[in-house]
This record gives sequence, C-alpha cells and structure tokens, in this order.
Amino acid sequence: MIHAARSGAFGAVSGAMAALGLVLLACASLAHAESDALIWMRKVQIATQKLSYSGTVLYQQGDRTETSRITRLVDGAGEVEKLEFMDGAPREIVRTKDVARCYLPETRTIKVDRRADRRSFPAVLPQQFEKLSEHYEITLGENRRIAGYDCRELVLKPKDEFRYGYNLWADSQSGMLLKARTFDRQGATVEQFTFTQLKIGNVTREQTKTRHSARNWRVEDASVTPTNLAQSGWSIASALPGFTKIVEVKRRLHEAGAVGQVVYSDGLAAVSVFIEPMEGRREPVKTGLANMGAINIYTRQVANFVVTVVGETPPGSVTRFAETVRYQQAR
Amino acid sequence: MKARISALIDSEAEAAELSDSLAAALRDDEEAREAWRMYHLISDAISGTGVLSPGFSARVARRLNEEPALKSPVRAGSAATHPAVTWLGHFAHRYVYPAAVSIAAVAFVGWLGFLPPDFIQSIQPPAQVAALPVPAKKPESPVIRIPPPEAAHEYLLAHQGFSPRNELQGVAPYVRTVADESAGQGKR
Repeated sequence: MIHAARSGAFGAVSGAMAALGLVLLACASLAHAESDALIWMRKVQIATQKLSYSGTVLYQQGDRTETSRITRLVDGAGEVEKLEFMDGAPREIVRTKDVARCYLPETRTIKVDRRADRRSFPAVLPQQFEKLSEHYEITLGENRRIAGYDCRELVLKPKDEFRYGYNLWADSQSGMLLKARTFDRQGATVEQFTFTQLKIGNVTREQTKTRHSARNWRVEDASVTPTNLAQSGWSIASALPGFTKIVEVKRRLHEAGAVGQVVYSDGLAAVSVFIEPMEGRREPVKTGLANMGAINIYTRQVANFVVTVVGETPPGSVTRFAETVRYQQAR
Repeated sequence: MKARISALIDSEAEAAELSDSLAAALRDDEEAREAWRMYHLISDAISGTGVLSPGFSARVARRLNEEPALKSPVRAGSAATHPAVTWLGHFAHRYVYPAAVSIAAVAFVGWLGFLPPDFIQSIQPPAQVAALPVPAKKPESPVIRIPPPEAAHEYLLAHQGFSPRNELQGVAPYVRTVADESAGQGKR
C-alpha cells in the first residue's frame, strides 16, 4: 500500500516539477524578449545623443500637420540642434546642452530657457529603463522601411490608463529614430512624427546657426532656478503610479512674476504642474480640461493661485494631478 | 498567514503583494509550509486540476476503502479533516514535501515576478488589480472642457525642456510648442 502510494506520490512530484519547469522556461523567454527590447531602446537613446543628422520631419496631430527641418551636430565643441518651421512664420528653436532659444520673428522675440543644471536632463539611465517596464510592456515589433532606412520597431504599451503608448521605429544600423507614434487606450493615433527625408552625418556648424540676426529683438529669459515649493506651503501628491518628481524650479512665464514648476515623469512621459499667483493675470481662471493633441491641460484655482497641469498623458491623468494640489499658507 | 495563503491560492488576493511575505513565511514557518502544501492538495482535488499521475485518484479511493482511519499528524482545527486529504497529507509530508514545496515556493515567487499583469488579471477578479493609493472618489461629476489657456504655448515651451521624449527624439517634439502667429492663432 505504501509502495503504491509512494510511486503515486513520486508521479505527483515529477508531474509537478515538469509543470514548474515549463513555467520557468516560459518566464525565462519572456524576460529575454523584454531585455532585447530594452537593449534596442538603449541603442536608440545613444544614437539620439551621438549622431549628427539633417532631415525633414512631418508632424501630424489630428487634422494638423507641420513640416520642419531638423539639423543636429555633435562635435568636439558640444552638441547643437535646430528646428526650423517650414510652414507659416519662420520660427526656429536652437538647443544646446545648456540653453534652448526660441526665435519668434513675428513678435521679434527670443525666449531663452537655460537648464537648471548642466547634466543632460533628464538622463534616462539604463536603471530607469528597468523602471519603465514596470508601467509599459516593451516589445520589439515588425521591421519597416521608412525614408529609405530599414527600421526596427519598438512598442511601448502602457499597463494602465494613465499614460499613452508609443511605437518607435529606428534605423536598424544606426539606431536613429525615424518615426514615433503616440497612441491612446483604443489604439488610435494621437500624434506622429516622421522623417520624410534624412541624412546622417555631414553636418557643418554653419548649418546649425539660426537664420535670424535677432538684433534688437526682445529677450525673454525664463531665469530657471531650483526651488522648494513645499517651503512655501505647497503639497502635491503624485497620484499616478510610476510618476515621480524629477525637478522643481522657479521661473518666469509670460507676464506673471515668479512661477513655480514641478515636473513629474515615469521615464517616458512628463507632467508639469505650474503654480502662479492670481495677481497680474490678464484673464480670469477658467477651471477645466483643455486638449492640445497629445498634451492635456487642466486648470484650477487653489487658494489665491492658479494651478495649471500640463501633461503628455491622457486627460484623466492631468485631472488627477490637479486635484491633489494643496496649499497651506506658512505661518 | 493561513487565510492569506488560502486566499492567494484561490486567486483572491493581490498576488504581487504577497509574494515576498509568502516566500519568507514558507522559508521560516513550519505551519505556513504545511498550510501551503495542504491547501494546494485541497485546491487541486476540488478543482480536478492536480498534476497527479493517471489513476492516482482511483488508487487513493481504493486504498481508502481498504484502510482503517489513519491517525495523522495534522493539527486539530485545521481544514484537513477529510480522511482522503488527511491520508494524502501524511504521505505528501513524507515523500512530496521536501522537493515539491521548496520548488513550488521559489517558482511561484519567480512566476509572479515575470508574468505580465494582464495574465495575473486574468486569473483573479478584475476589481482587485488596482493597488494605488487613490484619493476617495467623489461622485463622478462631468469634467468641464475648456479651450486651451491663452498662454498655452508658454506652458508647453516651459514643459518641453524637461520631457524625456527629448532623449529619444532630440529637438523634434518642440514642434508642438510654438504657435503659428502669422496664421493668427494664439495671441502672445
């Protein structure tokens, strides 16, 4: 009786072990597939930082399309990139590691935004890629030819409704990103950037300079400096999983005096919470949700301040953030 | 702990939340190990999904009919009062436990870590999944839709500098941040 039971029990053990073995094998191959995708994503990130290139980008959002030329140079003197709008007024944005300048010829204004600190910010380090996979399912998709380049696809599917998903196509040889598509919970395209023409390398510094002489233009410097809003009585709970605070600054924004800005990110999408005093506002506060394509903006009044939450997220996320902002006047 | 193990096996609890404490408990607590083993056997027997060898159940039933009731070392007050389970428990404890439970504990913890949440969701009631500290939801009032603020592009420009998208796309995302003034959109 014991022998029969023992062979029965051992049958149970080997059956159980076989089942567990299969599960472990499946898990191992799942993890392997994901790490391939993360390795590819890292390559794309490095390419974005290291490559010089020039090309034409088509931006599509709803009915809106925008064509721009992008020129980027990385050399011993540092990195510089320029975005020129090809439609409408010849606006330009020229960005280096430390400063971003926005040239607005219609109002003869240059907006200057100096980085709060010199590090490449926010640097998405390999550890943060691991953090990304907590909230996005990251996989490799299909290959596709875009603008003459054979591209590999990276799919970042959100694991919850608080963020958008992304398809990224990058040149399989260099890692240069050719196309990026943002999609919502239903899989519909929210916005899309596509290089319709791209040449990697062979960029001169002359090509990265702005066409505008900008002499006597008005300079608006954002004067970004680090700050601590909690000291002034503000508290914002990060109500969204995975979104952590990455920077907290004080800056100038239009005619308002000092405006507080707190930025949260999950490693891929970012949300800014702007806090500005009511005084000096030209327009009254309209509470509610506004949409600008892939960007949603929620505005509300807290105490004597206007809170504006700007997020590269679905509408519910900015609403949630806005609702967690609290103010307690320091005594 | 027993109730939690039972709930976990019946897939009623947040799997990820329990994996760490479960692994610790199985490692250190004799009672927890026994409960683990016992509940698996019960669960398998009830659901009929046990990985026992073919004919095992039939052999058990036959043997039970032949055997007098065994005095097993199962504690009074535990759920294992059914003779078949008591009998199973006795022999499982002697022959199955050393290999299977330690493997099961390690594999189970690893399994939880690797499975995509979609899968975990599919084996437990959907209502259990969200584990965020969500502020108590007020009755759903419709969100008011408004046009973008006048200074929308100022905010966008201020925001863009901190977006991780720049890490993957360079300066391209800035195209969203500047209005076309010559077209009369957006007063500045």
